[in-house]
Amino acid sequence: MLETRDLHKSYQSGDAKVQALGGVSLKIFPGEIIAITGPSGCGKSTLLHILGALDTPTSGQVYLEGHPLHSLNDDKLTSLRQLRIGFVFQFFHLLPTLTVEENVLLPLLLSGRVDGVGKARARDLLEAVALADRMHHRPHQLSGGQMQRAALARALVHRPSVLLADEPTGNLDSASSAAVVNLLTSLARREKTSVVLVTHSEEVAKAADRRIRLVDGRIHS
Amino acid sequence: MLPIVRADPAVREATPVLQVVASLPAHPGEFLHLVGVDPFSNGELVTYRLEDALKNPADAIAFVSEPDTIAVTRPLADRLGLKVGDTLRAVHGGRETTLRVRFLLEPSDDLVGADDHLALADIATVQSRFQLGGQIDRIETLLRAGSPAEKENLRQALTERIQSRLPAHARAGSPERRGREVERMLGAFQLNLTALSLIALVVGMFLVTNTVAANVARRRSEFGLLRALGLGRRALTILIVAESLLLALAGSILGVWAGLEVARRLLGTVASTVTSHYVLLSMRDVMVTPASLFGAVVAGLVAAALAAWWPAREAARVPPVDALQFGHISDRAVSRTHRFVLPALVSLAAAGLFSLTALHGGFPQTGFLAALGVLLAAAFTAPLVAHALARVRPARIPAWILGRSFFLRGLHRHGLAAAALAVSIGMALGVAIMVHSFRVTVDRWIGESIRADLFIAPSTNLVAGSLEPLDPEAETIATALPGIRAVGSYREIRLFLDGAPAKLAACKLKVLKTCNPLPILSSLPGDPYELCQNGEYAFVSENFARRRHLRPGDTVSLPTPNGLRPIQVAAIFRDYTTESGLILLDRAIYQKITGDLNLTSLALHLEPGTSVAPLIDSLRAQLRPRGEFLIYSQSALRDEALRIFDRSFAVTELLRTLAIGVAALGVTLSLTALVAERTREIGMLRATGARRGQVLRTIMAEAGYLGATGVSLGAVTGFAVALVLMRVINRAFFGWTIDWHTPWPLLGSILVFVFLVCLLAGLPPALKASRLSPAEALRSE
Repeated sequence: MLETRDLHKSYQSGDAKVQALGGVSLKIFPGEIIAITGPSGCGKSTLLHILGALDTPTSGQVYLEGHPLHSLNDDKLTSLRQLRIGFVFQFFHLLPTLTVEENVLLPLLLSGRVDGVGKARARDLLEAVALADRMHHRPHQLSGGQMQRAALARALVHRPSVLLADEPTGNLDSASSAAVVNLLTSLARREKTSVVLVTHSEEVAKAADRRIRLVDGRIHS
Repeated sequence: MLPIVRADPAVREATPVLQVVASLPAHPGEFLHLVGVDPFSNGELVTYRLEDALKNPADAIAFVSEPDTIAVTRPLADRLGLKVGDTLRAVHGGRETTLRVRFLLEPSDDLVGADDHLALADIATVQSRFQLGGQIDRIETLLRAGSPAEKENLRQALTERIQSRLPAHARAGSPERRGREVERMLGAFQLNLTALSLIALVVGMFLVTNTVAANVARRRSEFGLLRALGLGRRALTILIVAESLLLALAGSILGVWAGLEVARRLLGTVASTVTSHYVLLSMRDVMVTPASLFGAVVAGLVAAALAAWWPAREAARVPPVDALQFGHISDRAVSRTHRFVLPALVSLAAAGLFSLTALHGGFPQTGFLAALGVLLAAAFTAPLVAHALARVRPARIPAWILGRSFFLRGLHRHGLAAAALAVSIGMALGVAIMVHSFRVTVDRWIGESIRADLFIAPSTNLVAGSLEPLDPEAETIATALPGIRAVGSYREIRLFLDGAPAKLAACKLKVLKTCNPLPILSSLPGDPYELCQNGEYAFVSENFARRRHLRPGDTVSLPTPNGLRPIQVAAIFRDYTTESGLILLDRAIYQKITGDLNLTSLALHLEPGTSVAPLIDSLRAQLRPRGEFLIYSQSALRDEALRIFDRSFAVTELLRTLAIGVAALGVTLSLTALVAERTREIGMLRATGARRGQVLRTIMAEAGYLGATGVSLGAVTGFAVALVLMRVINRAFFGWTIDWHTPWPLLGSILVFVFLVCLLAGLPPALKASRLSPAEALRSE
């Protein structure tokens, strides 16, 4: 389970102090899909980064399966990311000189777990996202939708307990968006992975089990 | 000649000058560049601002009336602890005399070309003190007043009138001509330094291109915005180039300052190199004209503008929509490497063509263009080699796999950095191979051709080159010593043949033949030694023959006091003593045709079993009263020759280090720019579970790929550059044969060193990348 308690995050921007999160408390249950929406600058990405062990809060607590993310050092946070967290980004971020399969295997490569089992898992996921026939292609040979599907397979290859997606359809046309969202939700349910979706899109948000709206760094509804 | 010149209607004033170099036994290592002048006729010519020292008519009378009077420069007097009225022992040509310092010369800016070893005396003093009765070196003349055009006509007419009456070994000309001749002698040396500096500049240009390209990539969206707001392509190009020029101006000014500092530190080395090879030169400070400083800044600006233009144009060509979009930059680069194949081939072909024109077309300077062609070919090949190297698929080491991926992705930037590296390494290795080959060749040649056991020369020759003649009594003393098998003599003078410098030497060929035969390459039928001893035949050095297209049997016209003397080439021999080429005559023939009885040095061949050390002691004891002498054993001479050799090439090592340093900076720059470009990608890697250490090792692996590209291509380029240096430039300029000797350990250590430097250069950007906060890195999305 992923839980936050009274999360605050503030930045120094020049002389001004910017409050990005002003006391966010929420619980995300295993296998649950939630969507975080809200206007630009409301703190969506900041919250996502803290949930994903990429950033630490100024105050408050955040627990991932009992691990206190707010008090762990960089090394421990990295280990948690390697094992329990998957990311999907707006701009896919596939490495262009690696094949699609190698890109999917990246999280396993970084944790030294590329073996027969890992490769079979990658192939299984590539089939699930309908890219099995493209596994030896380079990213630039894929369409935007295909690239995001490959990124989705990468985010799930190491069987994370939570998948964090930051505007996953922000760079796709509507048809590709729908396909990616369908895949994301269906795969998450299959894998029993919790999903936190940050999006501007109403259509994408509708696919979630629960919606949280952030305004000025606080949960609005 | 003096009365003839004075009587000429074009001449207003003429004054004789006699110059000698005299050693100072009381001050080892110091010498006087003693100029004998006629203070009465010298007045108007004010060659040496004598009037500053001779403040009143009484002084002038003292200057000529006291037969031991000299004027020395104040810096020399201070250095030697001399005051007005002190005496000074001086030796020239084995004749020692005591001179009295009566005047001090103040350093003057007008004294261009002279230095603080200058000493002045009445010409009669110099002649009588060193028993040079009646001798003069030159007559300086002042023409009658007139417009510049009239003066030029007068000068030409006078030169023609006088030249026809001069003996063959004397020449009439303007002071500029004398300057030009010295320039010509130093030309090759300058050319070498200039070529190396230009390569440093070319490597610098790569750096500028790389910097501008990095800057353009970093500010891509800013430029996209400017384009979207209506800035035209040309205006954007100009904007980027102008920005680079501003930076280049600061860089050039800093470079000029640093250059002057380096020059000051190198002054001594360069001066002694020039003295040992060309002309007596002593320098105490760097002299630079404002024009050349301005020229250096302009060269820096032009180079920067040229280097910045290409990436600026590339940036301006990107459609604004693309520029405003993220991504898109580098994926093209991988597939664009093939477009460099043609320029590489063209550069290589040009190198071949320029080699031919240098060797056979009579344009030796084009040899440097050939070297440039090779370097350019290497630069164009760099992206291809980088791509080929990156095909080596790594083992399952995450940092290696990712480093290779990053390297391939960054080829658009790394191509330039690898090119700069390959060019610098190629130049460094090329010069290293050439210098080593040359050194080994010379060393072996010394071993084969210098067989005498001991050598004796006047000590001033060490600092002043072979200028001061040897005391003739030294030969008598040496010959009378027990244990001596033979005494060979050597006389060497510098002269100009058909406007080009050369050296004329004489020795006892009989001794040479039996004790120290020359490495003969080709000769007339029969014994060339016999020919040269019995008639007007000469040995000529290989480089002399090659440059003047001479073969045995051909004739050289030698200027002598009695007119031009045709001397037939009896044989061509291998020689590395002088780059200007050597004509070697038998001593008797030389003395007969030139009237010069002086000697420069002696070579002593000992009876087998004679021990050297006691003989040296005995020689020193007997020679001491006659002045200061250098006595070298064979091994000491060899060491001395190699010391001079090493000193001559010391400057190239500095330039080599400089070029590699600049290229290493390129590596840092390239990787720093790429780390900035890939902030989000690094954020993604960290989000996906990459540890800080993995990111660091990834960037280091990338630096490793870059270094490997530069090193492997640079190694091949080095051999090509060495080939051009040895087989084209050296042959075209100096005519020497240099046997190829590859200094494998040195090459290996340079390559390993450069590779390590590349890794080191990659460390700052790698550390920067590893320290990026993943959230910050992704926030820029």
